[in-house]
Amino acid sequence: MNIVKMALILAVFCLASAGSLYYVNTMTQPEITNRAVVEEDSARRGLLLGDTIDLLDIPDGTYTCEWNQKNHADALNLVIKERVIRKLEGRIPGDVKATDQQVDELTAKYNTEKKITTFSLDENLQALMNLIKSALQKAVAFECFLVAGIPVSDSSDPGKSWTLRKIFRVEQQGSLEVAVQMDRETSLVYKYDPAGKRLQLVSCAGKKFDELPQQVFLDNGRTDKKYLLNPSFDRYFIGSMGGKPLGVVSTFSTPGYGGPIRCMTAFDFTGRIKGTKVLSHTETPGLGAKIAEINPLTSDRISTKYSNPNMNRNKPWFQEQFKGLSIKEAFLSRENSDGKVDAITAATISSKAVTGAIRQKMNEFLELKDFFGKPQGVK
Amino acid sequence: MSNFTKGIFEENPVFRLVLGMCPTLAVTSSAENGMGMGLASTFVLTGSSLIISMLRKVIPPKIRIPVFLVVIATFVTITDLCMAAYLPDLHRSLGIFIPLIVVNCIVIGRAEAFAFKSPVLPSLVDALGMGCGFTAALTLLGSVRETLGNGTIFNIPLFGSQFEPAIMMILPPGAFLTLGLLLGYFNYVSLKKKERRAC
Repeated sequence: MNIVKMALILAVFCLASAGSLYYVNTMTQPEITNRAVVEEDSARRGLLLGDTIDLLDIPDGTYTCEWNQKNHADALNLVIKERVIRKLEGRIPGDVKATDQQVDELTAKYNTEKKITTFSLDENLQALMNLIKSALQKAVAFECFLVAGIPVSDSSDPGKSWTLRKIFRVEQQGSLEVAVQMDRETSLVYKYDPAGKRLQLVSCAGKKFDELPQQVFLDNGRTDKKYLLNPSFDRYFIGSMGGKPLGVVSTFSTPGYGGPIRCMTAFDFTGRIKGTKVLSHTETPGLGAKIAEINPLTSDRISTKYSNPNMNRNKPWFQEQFKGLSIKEAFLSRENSDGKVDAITAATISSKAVTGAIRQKMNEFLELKDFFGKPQGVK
Repeated sequence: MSNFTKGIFEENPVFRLVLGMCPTLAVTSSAENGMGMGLASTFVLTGSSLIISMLRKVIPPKIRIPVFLVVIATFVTITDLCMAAYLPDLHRSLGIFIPLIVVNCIVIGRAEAFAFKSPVLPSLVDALGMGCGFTAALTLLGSVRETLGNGTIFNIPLFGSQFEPAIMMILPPGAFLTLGLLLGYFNYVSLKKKERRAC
Protein backbone atom coordinates (compact mmCIF):
# COMPACT_ATOMS: atom_id res chain seq x y z
CA MET A 1 0.00 0.00 0.00
CA ASN A 2 1.78 3.09 -1.12
CA ILE A 3 1.39 6.62 0.10
CA VAL A 4 -0.37 7.85 -3.03
CA LYS A 5 -3.13 5.28 -2.67
CA MET A 6 -3.65 6.13 1.01
CA ALA A 7 -3.77 9.82 0.23
CA LEU A 8 -6.34 9.12 -2.47
CA ILE A 9 -8.54 7.15 -0.10
CA LEU A 10 -8.33 9.93 2.48
CA ALA A 11 -9.17 12.49 -0.19
CA VAL A 12 -12.22 10.46 -1.24
CA PHE A 13 -13.43 10.42 2.38
CA CYS A 14 -12.92 14.16 2.69
CA LEU A 15 -14.80 14.77 -0.55
CA ALA A 16 -17.68 12.55 0.52
CA SER A 17 -17.81 14.38 3.83
CA ALA A 18 -17.73 17.79 2.15
CA GLY A 19 -20.48 16.71 -0.23
CA SER A 20 -22.79 15.46 2.49
CA LEU A 21 -22.16 18.55 4.61
CA TYR A 22 -22.90 20.79 1.65
CA TYR A 23 -26.22 19.01 1.24
CA VAL A 24 -27.11 19.30 4.95
CA ASN A 25 -26.08 22.94 4.95
CA THR A 26 -28.25 23.90 2.01
CA MET A 27 -31.12 22.07 3.68
CA THR A 28 -30.80 23.65 7.13
CA GLN A 29 -29.43 27.11 6.35
CA PRO A 30 -32.70 28.71 5.18
CA GLU A 31 -34.42 27.36 8.29
CA ILE A 32 -31.73 28.74 10.62
CA THR A 33 -31.57 32.15 8.94
CA ASN A 34 -35.32 32.41 8.75
CA ARG A 35 -35.71 31.53 12.41
CA ALA A 36 -33.11 34.11 13.43
CA VAL A 37 -34.84 36.83 11.40
CA VAL A 38 -38.28 35.94 12.79
CA GLU A 39 -36.97 35.79 16.35
CA GLU A 40 -35.19 39.12 16.05
CA ASP A 41 -38.21 40.79 14.54
CA SER A 42 -40.52 39.44 17.21
CA ALA A 43 -38.08 40.42 19.97
CA ARG A 44 -37.84 43.94 18.58
CA ARG A 45 -41.61 44.34 18.51
CA GLY A 46 -41.99 42.77 21.94
CA LEU A 47 -39.47 45.14 23.51
CA LEU A 48 -41.13 48.22 22.07
CA LEU A 49 -44.59 47.12 23.07
CA GLY A 50 -43.50 46.47 26.64
CA ASP A 51 -45.49 44.64 29.31
CA THR A 52 -48.42 47.00 29.34
CA ILE A 53 -50.43 47.19 26.15
CA ASP A 54 -52.57 50.19 25.54
CA LEU A 55 -55.54 49.13 23.41
CA LEU A 56 -56.19 52.75 22.41
CA ASP A 57 -52.91 52.86 20.49
CA ILE A 58 -53.67 49.86 18.35
CA PRO A 59 -55.13 50.62 14.92
CA ASP A 60 -58.20 48.71 13.69
CA GLY A 61 -57.64 45.52 11.80
CA THR A 62 -57.28 41.77 12.08
CA TYR A 63 -54.30 40.46 13.95
CA THR A 64 -53.14 36.89 13.72
CA CYS A 65 -50.90 35.00 16.06
CA GLU A 66 -49.21 31.90 14.67
CA TRP A 67 -47.01 29.70 16.81
CA ASN A 68 -46.43 27.07 14.20
CA GLN A 69 -45.23 28.78 11.07
CA LYS A 70 -45.96 25.89 8.74
CA ASN A 71 -49.49 25.10 9.74
CA HIS A 72 -51.88 27.96 9.30
CA ALA A 73 -54.60 26.08 11.15
CA ASP A 74 -52.69 26.81 14.35
CA ALA A 75 -53.62 30.43 14.56
CA LEU A 76 -55.52 32.77 16.82
CA ASN A 77 -57.38 35.60 15.14
CA LEU A 78 -58.13 38.88 16.78
CA VAL A 79 -60.40 41.47 15.21
CA ILE A 80 -60.11 44.98 16.55
CA LYS A 81 -62.66 47.56 15.48
CA GLU A 82 -63.09 51.01 16.95
CA ARG A 83 -60.53 50.16 19.59
CA VAL A 84 -62.44 47.20 20.96
CA ILE A 85 -61.60 43.53 20.56
CA ARG A 86 -64.62 42.32 18.61
CA LYS A 87 -63.66 38.76 18.04
CA LEU A 88 -61.14 36.33 19.39
CA GLU A 89 -61.27 33.02 17.61
CA GLY A 90 -59.13 30.15 16.50
CA ARG A 91 -57.33 27.32 18.16
CA ILE A 92 -55.50 27.95 21.41
CA PRO A 93 -52.34 25.83 21.82
CA GLY A 94 -52.45 22.84 24.16
CA ASP A 95 -50.01 24.24 26.70
CA VAL A 96 -52.29 27.21 27.39
CA LYS A 97 -54.92 25.84 29.75
CA ALA A 98 -57.52 28.55 29.47
CA THR A 99 -61.23 27.78 29.25
CA ASP A 100 -63.57 29.55 26.84
CA GLN A 101 -65.03 31.42 29.77
CA GLN A 102 -61.60 32.68 30.79
CA VAL A 103 -60.93 33.80 27.23
CA ASP A 104 -64.19 35.75 27.21
CA GLU A 105 -63.42 37.23 30.62
CA LEU A 106 -59.98 38.35 29.49
CA THR A 107 -61.39 39.94 26.36
CA ALA A 108 -64.08 41.72 28.39
CA LYS A 109 -61.52 42.90 30.91
CA TYR A 110 -59.28 44.19 28.19
CA ASN A 111 -62.16 46.00 26.51
CA THR A 112 -63.23 47.80 29.68
CA GLU A 113 -59.80 48.66 31.03
CA LYS A 114 -58.20 49.35 27.62
CA LYS A 115 -54.86 48.69 29.22
CA ILE A 116 -53.51 45.41 30.51
CA THR A 117 -50.36 44.78 32.41
CA THR A 118 -49.33 41.23 31.60
CA PHE A 119 -47.63 40.46 34.85
CA SER A 120 -50.71 40.95 37.01
CA LEU A 121 -52.44 37.93 35.48
CA ASP A 122 -52.43 34.33 36.63
CA GLU A 123 -50.33 31.71 34.84
CA ASN A 124 -52.75 30.43 32.20
CA LEU A 125 -54.19 33.83 31.42
CA GLN A 126 -50.68 35.14 31.20
CA ALA A 127 -49.89 32.56 28.52
CA LEU A 128 -53.03 33.56 26.65
CA MET A 129 -52.15 37.22 27.06
CA ASN A 130 -48.71 36.53 25.62
CA LEU A 131 -50.41 35.07 22.56
CA ILE A 132 -52.59 38.15 22.17
CA LYS A 133 -49.53 40.29 22.67
CA SER A 134 -47.58 38.47 19.99
CA ALA A 135 -50.47 39.10 17.60
CA LEU A 136 -50.71 42.78 18.49
CA GLN A 137 -46.96 43.14 18.05
CA LYS A 138 -47.61 43.14 14.33
CA ALA A 139 -49.15 46.60 14.66
CA VAL A 140 -45.70 48.04 15.34
CA ALA A 141 -44.22 49.63 12.21
CA PHE A 142 -40.50 50.19 11.77
CA GLU A 143 -38.26 52.59 9.99
CA CYS A 144 -34.68 51.44 9.70
CA PHE A 145 -31.76 53.79 10.13
CA LEU A 146 -28.16 52.91 9.61
CA VAL A 147 -25.38 54.73 11.36
CA ALA A 148 -21.91 54.82 9.88
CA GLY A 149 -19.03 57.19 9.40
CA ILE A 150 -18.59 57.18 5.64
CA PRO A 151 -16.04 59.58 4.13
CA VAL A 152 -17.38 61.51 1.10
CA SER A 153 -15.96 63.97 -1.41
CA ASP A 154 -17.57 66.87 -3.27
CA SER A 155 -18.00 65.97 -6.96
CA SER A 156 -17.81 69.57 -8.18
CA ASP A 157 -14.52 70.11 -6.40
CA PRO A 158 -12.56 66.83 -6.28
CA GLY A 159 -9.90 68.27 -3.98
CA LYS A 160 -12.46 68.99 -1.30
CA SER A 161 -13.46 66.07 0.83
CA TRP A 162 -14.78 65.69 4.31
CA THR A 163 -15.85 62.94 6.60
CA LEU A 164 -19.43 63.18 7.67
CA ARG A 165 -19.81 62.51 11.29
CA LYS A 166 -22.84 60.39 10.80
CA ILE A 167 -24.75 58.95 7.92
CA PHE A 168 -28.17 57.51 8.21
CA ARG A 169 -29.65 55.29 5.63
CA VAL A 170 -33.31 54.96 4.86
CA GLU A 171 -34.33 52.24 2.49
CA GLN A 172 -37.70 52.61 0.82
CA GLN A 173 -39.14 50.44 -1.92
CA GLY A 174 -35.80 49.18 -3.09
CA SER A 175 -34.28 52.62 -3.59
CA LEU A 176 -31.55 53.80 -1.33
CA GLU A 177 -31.61 57.12 0.42
CA VAL A 178 -28.89 58.39 2.63
CA ALA A 179 -29.85 60.90 5.25
CA VAL A 180 -26.97 62.90 6.61
CA GLN A 181 -26.80 64.94 9.73
CA MET A 182 -24.07 67.54 9.41
CA ASP A 183 -24.66 69.20 12.74
CA ARG A 184 -27.52 69.63 15.19
CA GLU A 185 -29.55 71.91 12.91
CA THR A 186 -28.68 70.63 9.48
CA SER A 187 -29.84 67.36 8.05
CA LEU A 188 -29.79 66.39 4.39
CA VAL A 189 -31.09 63.53 2.32
CA TYR A 190 -29.13 62.14 -0.60
CA LYS A 191 -30.43 59.57 -3.03
CA TYR A 192 -28.14 56.88 -4.31
CA ASP A 193 -27.64 57.01 -8.08
CA PRO A 194 -26.45 53.56 -9.20
CA ALA A 195 -25.46 54.69 -12.73
CA GLY A 196 -23.08 57.39 -11.58
CA LYS A 197 -22.30 55.59 -8.32
CA ARG A 198 -22.79 58.84 -6.45
CA LEU A 199 -25.25 60.44 -4.07
CA GLN A 200 -27.60 63.13 -5.32
CA LEU A 201 -29.01 65.72 -2.91
CA VAL A 202 -32.81 65.55 -2.77
CA SER A 203 -33.82 67.57 0.26
CA CYS A 204 -32.40 69.39 3.21
CA ALA A 205 -33.37 71.08 6.43
CA GLY A 206 -31.53 73.87 8.25
CA LYS A 207 -29.53 75.27 5.30
CA LYS A 208 -30.30 76.54 1.80
CA PHE A 209 -30.52 73.81 -0.81
CA ASP A 210 -28.24 75.64 -3.30
CA GLU A 211 -25.45 76.18 -0.80
CA LEU A 212 -24.93 72.50 -0.29
CA PRO A 213 -22.96 70.08 -2.47
CA GLN A 214 -25.46 68.62 -4.94
CA GLN A 215 -23.58 65.44 -5.66
CA VAL A 216 -21.11 63.60 -3.47
CA PHE A 217 -19.00 60.54 -3.98
CA LEU A 218 -18.29 57.99 -1.35
CA ASP A 219 -14.56 57.83 -0.71
CA ASN A 220 -12.11 54.97 -0.38
CA GLY A 221 -13.16 53.65 -3.77
CA ARG A 222 -16.15 52.03 -2.13
CA THR A 223 -18.90 53.52 -4.16
CA ASP A 224 -21.23 50.60 -4.56
CA LYS A 225 -24.50 49.75 -2.95
CA LYS A 226 -22.96 46.70 -1.34
CA TYR A 227 -20.78 48.92 0.79
CA LEU A 228 -23.73 51.00 1.88
CA LEU A 229 -25.58 47.85 2.87
CA ASN A 230 -22.66 46.59 4.95
CA PRO A 231 -24.26 44.60 7.78
CA SER A 232 -21.63 45.70 10.28
CA PHE A 233 -23.01 49.24 10.39
CA ASP A 234 -25.12 50.01 13.41
CA ARG A 235 -28.79 49.73 12.70
CA TYR A 236 -31.45 51.60 14.60
CA PHE A 237 -35.09 50.70 14.24
CA ILE A 238 -37.59 53.42 15.09
CA GLY A 239 -40.85 51.81 16.05
CA SER A 240 -44.25 53.41 15.94
CA MET A 241 -47.80 52.19 16.33
CA GLY A 242 -50.73 54.00 14.73
CA GLY A 243 -48.47 56.97 14.06
CA LYS A 244 -47.36 57.30 17.67
CA PRO A 245 -43.60 56.80 18.13
CA LEU A 246 -42.80 54.10 20.68
CA GLY A 247 -39.04 54.16 20.81
CA VAL A 248 -35.81 53.10 19.18
CA VAL A 249 -34.35 49.59 19.15
CA SER A 250 -30.75 48.78 18.55
CA THR A 251 -29.10 45.37 18.17
CA PHE A 252 -25.46 44.95 19.08
CA SER A 253 -22.88 42.40 20.02
CA THR A 254 -20.33 42.46 22.82
CA PRO A 255 -17.57 40.05 23.85
CA GLY A 256 -18.64 38.09 26.93
CA TYR A 257 -16.83 35.40 28.90
CA GLY A 258 -17.40 32.55 26.46
CA GLY A 259 -17.90 34.40 23.18
CA PRO A 260 -19.97 37.17 21.70
CA ILE A 261 -23.24 38.11 23.42
CA ARG A 262 -25.87 39.50 21.05
CA CYS A 263 -28.25 41.88 22.71
CA MET A 264 -31.12 44.09 21.78
CA THR A 265 -32.08 47.18 23.74
CA ALA A 266 -35.03 49.50 23.32
CA PHE A 267 -34.96 53.14 24.41
CA ASP A 268 -37.83 55.58 24.68
CA PHE A 269 -37.62 59.22 23.68
CA THR A 270 -37.29 60.39 27.29
CA GLY A 271 -33.86 58.71 27.27
CA ARG A 272 -34.68 55.72 29.43
CA ILE A 273 -34.26 52.02 28.72
CA LYS A 274 -37.51 50.40 27.67
CA GLY A 275 -36.28 46.86 27.76
CA THR A 276 -33.41 44.60 26.99
CA LYS A 277 -33.13 41.11 25.53
CA VAL A 278 -30.18 38.79 25.07
CA LEU A 279 -30.62 37.20 21.65
CA SER A 280 -27.78 34.71 21.74
CA HIS A 281 -24.79 33.95 23.90
CA THR A 282 -22.32 31.20 24.73
CA GLU A 283 -21.77 31.91 28.42
CA THR A 284 -21.06 29.16 30.96
CA PRO A 285 -24.22 27.15 31.68
CA GLY A 286 -25.34 27.66 35.26
CA LEU A 287 -23.33 30.86 35.70
CA GLY A 288 -23.04 33.46 32.93
CA ALA A 289 -25.95 31.82 31.13
CA LYS A 290 -28.17 33.36 33.82
CA ILE A 291 -28.14 36.58 31.78
CA ALA A 292 -30.91 34.87 29.80
CA GLU A 293 -32.51 32.58 32.42
CA ILE A 294 -35.81 33.06 34.16
CA ASN A 295 -35.30 30.65 37.06
CA PRO A 296 -37.08 32.23 40.00
CA LEU A 297 -35.28 29.98 42.49
CA THR A 298 -31.63 30.62 41.87
CA SER A 299 -28.79 31.08 44.23
CA ASP A 300 -28.70 34.79 43.49
CA ARG A 301 -30.38 35.93 46.65
CA ILE A 302 -30.07 39.65 46.08
CA SER A 303 -32.27 41.85 48.21
CA THR A 304 -33.20 44.10 45.32
CA LYS A 305 -34.05 41.24 42.97
CA TYR A 306 -37.37 41.97 41.29
CA SER A 307 -37.71 45.03 43.52
CA ASN A 308 -37.94 47.32 40.50
CA PRO A 309 -41.71 47.72 39.91
CA ASN A 310 -41.21 47.53 36.14
CA MET A 311 -39.80 44.02 36.34
CA ASN A 312 -41.75 41.08 35.00
CA ARG A 313 -41.23 37.94 37.06
CA ASN A 314 -41.79 35.72 34.06
CA LYS A 315 -38.80 37.08 32.22
CA PRO A 316 -35.07 36.74 32.88
CA TRP A 317 -34.41 38.83 35.98
CA PHE A 318 -31.00 40.08 34.90
CA GLN A 319 -32.40 41.68 31.75
CA GLU A 320 -35.51 42.97 33.50
CA GLN A 321 -33.37 45.03 35.85
CA PHE A 322 -32.55 47.47 33.06
CA LYS A 323 -36.16 48.53 32.55
CA GLY A 324 -36.74 52.21 33.14
CA LEU A 325 -33.12 53.03 33.97
CA SER A 326 -31.54 56.29 32.92
CA ILE A 327 -27.92 56.62 31.78
CA LYS A 328 -26.80 57.45 35.34
CA GLU A 329 -28.38 54.31 36.75
CA ALA A 330 -27.24 51.82 34.12
CA PHE A 331 -24.21 50.71 36.12
CA LEU A 332 -23.56 47.60 38.18
CA SER A 333 -24.45 48.52 41.76
CA ARG A 334 -21.07 47.29 42.98
CA GLU A 335 -19.21 49.65 40.64
CA ASN A 336 -21.17 52.85 41.02
CA SER A 337 -23.26 54.13 43.92
CA ASP A 338 -26.03 55.24 41.51
CA GLY A 339 -26.00 51.88 39.73
CA LYS A 340 -29.19 49.85 39.90
CA VAL A 341 -28.07 46.66 38.16
CA ASP A 342 -27.12 43.69 40.31
CA ALA A 343 -24.39 41.47 38.94
CA ILE A 344 -24.87 37.71 38.68
CA THR A 345 -23.03 35.81 41.40
CA ALA A 346 -19.82 34.24 40.05
CA ALA A 347 -20.42 35.71 36.58
CA THR A 348 -19.00 39.22 36.89
CA ILE A 349 -17.53 39.28 33.38
CA SER A 350 -20.85 38.43 31.71
CA SER A 351 -22.72 40.97 33.86
CA LYS A 352 -20.13 43.67 33.18
CA ALA A 353 -20.07 42.99 29.46
CA VAL A 354 -23.83 43.32 29.03
CA THR A 355 -24.14 46.39 31.28
CA GLY A 356 -21.19 48.13 29.63
CA ALA A 357 -22.46 47.47 26.13
CA ILE A 358 -25.94 48.71 26.97
CA ARG A 359 -24.51 51.89 28.48
CA GLN A 360 -22.36 52.48 25.41
CA LYS A 361 -25.38 52.06 23.13
CA MET A 362 -27.35 54.37 25.38
CA ASN A 363 -24.69 57.08 25.09
CA GLU A 364 -24.87 56.77 21.32
CA PHE A 365 -28.63 56.86 21.37
CA LEU A 366 -28.75 59.99 23.54
CA GLU A 367 -26.51 61.72 21.02
CA LEU A 368 -28.75 60.67 18.13
CA LYS A 369 -32.03 61.13 19.99
CA ASP A 370 -32.89 64.51 18.50
CA PHE A 371 -32.40 63.16 15.03
CA PHE A 372 -34.55 60.11 15.66
CA GLY A 373 -37.19 62.18 17.42
CA LYS A 374 -38.09 64.02 14.22
CA PRO A 375 -37.76 61.40 11.51
CA GLN A 376 -40.42 63.12 9.39
CA GLY A 377 -38.40 66.33 9.22
CA VAL A 378 -35.58 64.52 7.48
CA LYS A 379 -37.53 63.37 4.47
CA MET B 1 -28.00 -8.46 23.56
CA SER B 2 -24.94 -8.54 25.76
CA ASN B 3 -23.34 -6.09 23.34
CA PHE B 4 -26.10 -3.65 24.20
CA THR B 5 -26.31 -4.06 27.99
CA LYS B 6 -22.57 -4.10 28.54
CA GLY B 7 -22.42 -0.45 27.46
CA ILE B 8 -24.95 0.47 30.12
CA PHE B 9 -23.63 -1.58 33.04
CA GLU B 10 -20.32 -3.51 33.04
CA GLU B 11 -18.61 -1.24 30.53
CA ASN B 12 -20.42 2.04 31.18
CA PRO B 13 -18.21 4.60 29.40
CA VAL B 14 -18.28 7.11 32.25
CA PHE B 15 -18.35 5.01 35.41
CA ARG B 16 -16.42 1.91 34.30
CA LEU B 17 -14.24 2.88 31.33
CA VAL B 18 -13.78 6.49 32.57
CA LEU B 19 -13.81 7.73 28.98
CA GLY B 20 -15.02 11.09 27.67
CA MET B 21 -14.42 12.99 30.89
CA CYS B 22 -14.29 16.39 29.18
CA PRO B 23 -17.99 16.68 28.30
CA THR B 24 -18.92 14.71 31.41
CA LEU B 25 -17.41 17.33 33.66
CA ALA B 26 -18.26 20.36 31.57
CA VAL B 27 -21.91 20.02 30.52
CA THR B 28 -23.52 18.27 33.47
CA SER B 29 -24.43 21.47 35.29
CA SER B 30 -28.09 20.58 34.72
CA ALA B 31 -30.00 17.37 34.00
CA GLU B 32 -31.37 18.75 30.75
CA ASN B 33 -27.93 19.65 29.40
CA GLY B 34 -26.57 16.24 30.40
CA MET B 35 -29.36 14.42 28.64
CA GLY B 36 -29.14 16.55 25.49
CA MET B 37 -25.41 16.03 25.28
CA GLY B 38 -25.85 12.28 25.83
CA LEU B 39 -28.42 11.98 23.05
CA ALA B 40 -26.34 14.04 20.62
CA SER B 41 -23.29 11.86 21.37
CA THR B 42 -25.39 8.71 20.90
CA PHE B 43 -26.40 9.89 17.43
CA VAL B 44 -22.80 10.65 16.45
CA LEU B 45 -21.57 7.37 17.95
CA THR B 46 -24.17 5.28 16.14
CA GLY B 47 -23.69 7.04 12.82
CA SER B 48 -19.91 6.89 12.84
CA SER B 49 -19.82 3.26 14.05
CA LEU B 50 -22.18 2.28 11.24
CA ILE B 51 -20.10 3.96 8.52
CA ILE B 52 -16.78 2.76 9.92
CA SER B 53 -17.82 -0.88 10.29
CA MET B 54 -19.36 -0.78 6.81
CA LEU B 55 -16.14 0.54 5.29
CA ARG B 56 -13.70 -1.31 7.54
CA LYS B 57 -12.37 -3.37 4.61
CA VAL B 58 -11.74 -0.23 2.52
CA ILE B 59 -9.99 1.90 5.12
CA PRO B 60 -6.21 1.23 5.17
CA PRO B 61 -5.18 0.55 8.81
CA LYS B 62 -2.31 3.02 8.61
CA ILE B 63 -4.57 6.03 8.03
CA ARG B 64 -7.56 4.84 10.03
CA ILE B 65 -7.34 7.65 12.62
CA PRO B 66 -7.63 10.54 10.11
CA VAL B 67 -10.47 8.70 8.36
CA PHE B 68 -12.27 8.16 11.70
CA LEU B 69 -11.90 11.85 12.47
CA VAL B 70 -13.33 12.89 9.10
CA VAL B 71 -16.32 10.59 9.58
CA ILE B 72 -16.93 11.70 13.17
CA ALA B 73 -16.52 15.39 12.37
CA THR B 74 -19.03 15.03 9.53
CA PHE B 75 -21.62 13.52 11.85
CA VAL B 76 -21.00 16.15 14.52
CA THR B 77 -21.48 18.96 12.01
CA ILE B 78 -24.67 17.34 10.73
CA THR B 79 -25.95 17.08 14.32
CA ASP B 80 -25.03 20.69 15.01
CA LEU B 81 -26.75 22.04 11.90
CA CYS B 82 -29.88 19.91 12.26
CA MET B 83 -30.21 20.81 15.93
CA ALA B 84 -29.84 24.51 15.14
CA ALA B 85 -32.54 24.23 12.49
CA TYR B 86 -35.10 21.93 14.11
CA LEU B 87 -34.43 21.96 17.90
CA PRO B 88 -33.41 25.57 18.50
CA ASP B 89 -34.11 25.55 22.25
CA LEU B 90 -31.87 22.56 22.95
CA HIS B 91 -29.24 23.97 20.62
CA ARG B 92 -29.27 27.22 22.55
CA SER B 93 -28.61 25.49 25.86
CA LEU B 94 -25.97 23.08 24.53
CA GLY B 95 -24.49 25.46 21.94
CA ILE B 96 -20.78 25.30 22.49
CA PHE B 97 -20.65 21.68 23.62
CA ILE B 98 -21.97 20.11 20.43
CA PRO B 99 -18.79 20.75 18.37
CA LEU B 100 -16.83 19.28 21.29
CA ILE B 101 -18.28 15.82 20.58
CA VAL B 102 -15.55 15.53 17.92
CA VAL B 103 -12.93 15.24 20.64
CA ASN B 104 -15.03 12.88 22.77
CA CYS B 105 -12.80 9.83 23.14
CA ILE B 106 -15.76 7.44 23.50
CA VAL B 107 -16.63 7.96 19.86
CA ILE B 108 -13.14 7.40 18.51
CA GLY B 109 -12.54 4.74 21.18
CA ARG B 110 -15.52 2.64 20.05
CA ALA B 111 -14.59 3.15 16.40
CA GLU B 112 -11.06 1.91 17.09
CA ALA B 113 -11.83 -0.87 19.55
CA PHE B 114 -15.07 -2.27 18.19
CA ALA B 115 -16.50 -0.92 14.92
CA PHE B 116 -13.27 -1.27 12.96
CA LYS B 117 -13.10 -4.98 13.82
CA SER B 118 -16.75 -6.08 13.83
CA PRO B 119 -19.57 -6.51 11.31
CA VAL B 120 -22.27 -3.88 10.93
CA LEU B 121 -25.00 -5.20 13.23
CA PRO B 122 -22.90 -5.85 16.37
CA SER B 123 -21.19 -2.46 15.89
CA LEU B 124 -24.54 -0.73 15.73
CA VAL B 125 -25.81 -2.48 18.85
CA ASP B 126 -22.56 -1.75 20.68
CA ALA B 127 -22.73 1.94 19.72
CA LEU B 128 -26.36 2.22 20.84
CA GLY B 129 -25.55 0.53 24.16
CA MET B 130 -22.58 2.78 24.79
CA GLY B 131 -24.67 5.80 23.84
CA CYS B 132 -27.43 4.83 26.26
CA GLY B 133 -24.88 4.25 29.01
CA PHE B 134 -23.30 7.63 28.37
CA THR B 135 -26.69 9.39 28.28
CA ALA B 136 -27.78 7.70 31.52
CA ALA B 137 -24.51 8.61 33.25
CA LEU B 138 -24.63 12.26 32.16
CA THR B 139 -28.29 12.60 33.14
CA LEU B 140 -27.59 11.10 36.56
CA LEU B 141 -24.62 13.38 37.13
CA GLY B 142 -26.54 16.40 35.90
CA SER B 143 -29.54 15.60 38.12
CA VAL B 144 -27.39 15.31 41.23
CA ARG B 145 -25.54 18.54 40.52
CA GLU B 146 -28.65 20.48 39.55
CA THR B 147 -30.58 19.29 42.61
CA LEU B 148 -27.84 20.27 45.04
CA GLY B 149 -26.50 23.30 43.22
CA ASN B 150 -29.67 24.96 42.00
CA GLY B 151 -32.54 23.32 43.90
CA THR B 152 -34.22 22.19 40.68
CA ILE B 153 -34.36 19.11 38.48
CA PHE B 154 -35.12 19.46 34.73
CA ASN B 155 -35.83 23.10 35.67
CA ILE B 156 -38.64 22.08 38.07
CA PRO B 157 -38.13 23.61 41.52
CA LEU B 158 -37.87 20.88 44.16
CA PHE B 159 -37.64 22.82 47.37
CA GLY B 160 -39.29 25.91 48.76
CA SER B 161 -37.66 29.31 48.67
CA GLN B 162 -36.03 28.54 52.05
CA PHE B 163 -33.61 26.13 50.39
CA GLU B 164 -30.13 27.58 50.06
CA PRO B 165 -28.47 25.83 47.09
CA ALA B 166 -24.77 24.93 47.22
CA ILE B 167 -23.60 26.89 44.19
CA MET B 168 -20.30 25.02 44.29
CA MET B 169 -22.06 21.94 42.95
CA ILE B 170 -22.71 23.53 39.55
CA LEU B 171 -19.18 24.95 39.43
CA PRO B 172 -16.27 22.75 38.25
CA PRO B 173 -15.39 21.44 41.77
CA GLY B 174 -18.94 20.09 42.07
CA ALA B 175 -18.41 18.10 38.88
CA PHE B 176 -15.26 16.45 40.23
CA LEU B 177 -16.81 15.74 43.63
CA THR B 178 -19.99 14.22 42.20
CA LEU B 179 -18.12 12.20 39.62
CA GLY B 180 -15.66 10.94 42.22
CA LEU B 181 -18.38 9.86 44.63
CA LEU B 182 -20.44 8.17 41.90
CA LEU B 183 -17.33 6.40 40.55
CA GLY B 184 -16.55 5.20 44.07
CA TYR B 185 -20.08 3.92 44.49
CA PHE B 186 -20.07 2.03 41.18
CA ASN B 187 -16.66 0.50 41.97
CA TYR B 188 -17.99 -0.58 45.36
CA VAL B 189 -21.05 -2.19 43.77
CA SER B 190 -18.99 -4.12 41.20
CA LEU B 191 -16.55 -5.20 43.88
CA LYS B 192 -19.43 -6.57 45.97
CA LYS B 193 -20.73 -8.38 42.92
CA LYS B 194 -17.37 -10.00 42.33
CA GLU B 195 -17.13 -11.09 45.96
CA ARG B 196 -20.55 -12.64 45.82
CA ARG B 197 -19.63 -14.49 42.66
CA ALA B 198 -16.44 -15.80 44.30
CA CYS B 199 -18.33 -17.25 47.27
